[in-house]
Amino acid sequence: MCSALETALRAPKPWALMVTSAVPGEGKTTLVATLAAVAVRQRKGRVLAVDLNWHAPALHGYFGLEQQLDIDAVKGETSIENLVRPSGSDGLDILTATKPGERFAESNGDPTGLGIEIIEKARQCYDLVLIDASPLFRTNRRMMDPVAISKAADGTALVVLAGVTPRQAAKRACMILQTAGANVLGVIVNQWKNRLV
Amino acid sequence: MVRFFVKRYFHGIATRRVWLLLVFLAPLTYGVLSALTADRFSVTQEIEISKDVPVALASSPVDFAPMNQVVAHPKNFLQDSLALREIYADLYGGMNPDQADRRYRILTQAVDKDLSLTMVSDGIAKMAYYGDDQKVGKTLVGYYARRLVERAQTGLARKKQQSFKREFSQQNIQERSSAVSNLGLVSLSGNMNVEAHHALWRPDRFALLAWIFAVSLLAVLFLLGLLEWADPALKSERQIARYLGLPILGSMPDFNKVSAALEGRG
Repeated sequence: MCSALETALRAPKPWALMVTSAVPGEGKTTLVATLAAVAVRQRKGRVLAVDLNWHAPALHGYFGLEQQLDIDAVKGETSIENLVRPSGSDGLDILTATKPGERFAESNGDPTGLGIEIIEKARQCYDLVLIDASPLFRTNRRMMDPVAISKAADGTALVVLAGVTPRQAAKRACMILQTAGANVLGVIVNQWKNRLV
Repeated sequence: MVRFFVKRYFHGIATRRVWLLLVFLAPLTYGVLSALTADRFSVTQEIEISKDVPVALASSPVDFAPMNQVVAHPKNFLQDSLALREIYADLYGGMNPDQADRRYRILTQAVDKDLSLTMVSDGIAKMAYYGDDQKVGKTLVGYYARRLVERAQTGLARKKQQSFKREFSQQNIQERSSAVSNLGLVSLSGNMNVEAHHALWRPDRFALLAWIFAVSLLAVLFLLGLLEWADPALKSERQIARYLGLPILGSMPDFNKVSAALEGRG
């Protein structure tokens, strides 16, 4: 899967890959965690997995971490390396979501801009940045807009949960991303619950 | 392609297998309703008549037969096409039913199979119906009971006339007349008795039950196919690639199964 993504991306390092889906619960976080682990094993350089799904963060759980990101620190001049947490595997760091209960105040600006800033900073320090983004639908104002973030990434992979994702939602998500100018590399099919295979 | 749809159809059935319980809903409803509903009726009418009473034969204007012979061969008395036409007219109107008429055939069969004439005791005969149509039963029993009384009265009159013709002796006439009058009056005894019968199960319900089950099964299988067809979810990699116009970069297995398999091996 990593090789397929690399081929699809055809971009020099460093590169940032955003993983999103049409609706929640499709397996984005599982895919990001898996890709990160595989990339480290295949010695793809320094890898950072970023949890930008702040509305329903889950990436930290895969690596036994706590949500500890300080928003003010991100907005300051602090290097991203001071914010990440080691995953336990050499070469793989995790940038968790914000602390539980921490909310954006009006003065903090839009979360999407913050997400783009994180990606830009991460690209300076890591060879591969994997972004666990929010789903496109059922959005709310606390979410980062995955469409806007996708433009900051080099490529976007859409996760589809076979047997569950409604085809109209997947099609709409695909069209929105492409219309917005995102580089949609392709689809990763999560076969969980799919008894047809 | 066809293989995929067949596989998808069976997958849909397996996913919604609870729906298969609906197959039993209609047969169960039929079973409960038929157990609770009276579907057999016995209609009886007693007639005061001696076994020696002459009953006029419909086939002849002068002949008669004693009641015990009529009871021994009731079909001669019951299966009369004119009588059947009159009963048909009472029930459905119209005196000339087509022989192919289903209702006429059912009526004929009811007279043949469900109607009986027996002697309960020397002075009492019983016209009885046991079948599935209360209205038909009441009409048949009422009609044939009245007919038996009329025929018996006609038979008595015919016997008297024959006695006059054969015997010219005044004494013999008086003896014969008294013998005929000793046979007593012929009349209906009491009112018609109607009883409804229930049963948890009857073998004749099996055919309809099997039909209902088969139709239910087909309907539920059709419904499951329809639900699967209407399911908007993307089902396979090929379908996803075609529908979205994007390449499939890879697929993730069910990690729960992978973990279980690794733990089992480890």
